[in-house]
Amino acid sequence: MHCRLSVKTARMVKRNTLALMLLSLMSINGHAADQLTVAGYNTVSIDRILELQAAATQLHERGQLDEALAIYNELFLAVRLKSGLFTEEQLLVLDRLLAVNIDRSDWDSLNQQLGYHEWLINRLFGKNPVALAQQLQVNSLHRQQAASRLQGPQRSWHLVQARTQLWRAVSALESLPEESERLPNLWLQIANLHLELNNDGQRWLTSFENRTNEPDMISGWALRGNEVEQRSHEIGSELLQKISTHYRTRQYPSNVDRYALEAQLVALQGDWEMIFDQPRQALHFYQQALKVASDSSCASELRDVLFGQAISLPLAELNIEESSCAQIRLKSVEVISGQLLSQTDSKLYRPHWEHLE
Amino acid sequence: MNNSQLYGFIKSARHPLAILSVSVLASACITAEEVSQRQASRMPTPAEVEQYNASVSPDERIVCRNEIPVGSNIPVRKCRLMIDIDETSTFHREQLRRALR
Repeated sequence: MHCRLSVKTARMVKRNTLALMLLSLMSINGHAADQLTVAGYNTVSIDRILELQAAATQLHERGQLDEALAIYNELFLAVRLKSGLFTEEQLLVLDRLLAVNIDRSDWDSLNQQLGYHEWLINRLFGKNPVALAQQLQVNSLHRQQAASRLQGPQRSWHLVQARTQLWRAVSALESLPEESERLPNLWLQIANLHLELNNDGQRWLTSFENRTNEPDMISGWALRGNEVEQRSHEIGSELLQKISTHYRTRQYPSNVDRYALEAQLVALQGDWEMIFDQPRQALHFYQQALKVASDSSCASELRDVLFGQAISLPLAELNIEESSCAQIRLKSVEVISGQLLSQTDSKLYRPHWEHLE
Repeated sequence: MNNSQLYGFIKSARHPLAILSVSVLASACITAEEVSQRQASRMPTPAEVEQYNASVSPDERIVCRNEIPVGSNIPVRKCRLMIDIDETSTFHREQLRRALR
């Protein structure tokens, strides 16, 4: 009954202005709003939407951010009026709105929209873990981009939230064994975020991680800096080990050199230990990586790529890629005989293979 | 291998390595139920804690850290609810304030 009345209310305002329409959509319950598309309450044509989209993209590309924002806001409203308040279509516009607000450094609007995005995807994809995980990654990516332009507590807050979204994506996908291939990339991204937050061992970190989801810090007891570092080290080691186990137990296509992938992973584990000041452990992993690389059909090239050049640590981003021997050979041509670990004073470098044998 | 067979094997074993291998085998003889019980009772790893915290509200989040108990020098890993840590911390601060007055 309540539902019928709500639809009836919506019908009455059909001919009114866009603003009045939106107001009525907000006042009726969610179930009725979902039915609007079916009932045919489209007040904006597809042509108009495409027109707005093209204009907004053009303005954004030209760097006219305020104008782009105005058009994107109009488009956002139009898409919801056309297809319903909870339509998936709005996610694309929301994605662009988030990007514009990052470019404009409008952090209040950004935080509000990120919160809305999070709420919406949970509502839309509660029963679709794959889509939920994908959108959680989008949310995480925007937060990481925002963090790269911020400093202090706001930067840490965005990074902690970005990490949280990735963990949620992991939890969503872990329930589906057939989607396990998506997990290593997420684990690697989480390890990367630990690396980024490692220098932010501040008092606010405990607050953002455990006391609140809001950007304002709540003071109180906090983990010490060395405890934060130790925890990050342990989590990263655990995640890299999980990735390594995942790839070891998996079937490879014939064009992929499995030893190249495994050697990369073990070398990454070594890098992780090196960054967290565990040189003995690092050496153990590096030697293991060299041993794995020697089993590859392009062993010497792989050795040069991994341990024959100056690789400064920490890496800008932990990364793993599946490669064929042909690709490794191409890369090894670019390798210039690099600095050795012993020749460096202040910076950390991955050791040269001569030091590992 | 039942218990009497195991006893007979140990009695006849003259080499320490044999005894060692029996003890290793015996320790490996646990049921699937025991395995799941052990897994359930073990402390969560740091990554598991972080994953759990990401999926619950701040009131339910936990913090695990190494604590050194009174009368010992050996750190023990303890996991506590964040709100409990905060309440205990506030209580101790109040106690200290009263004592200093």
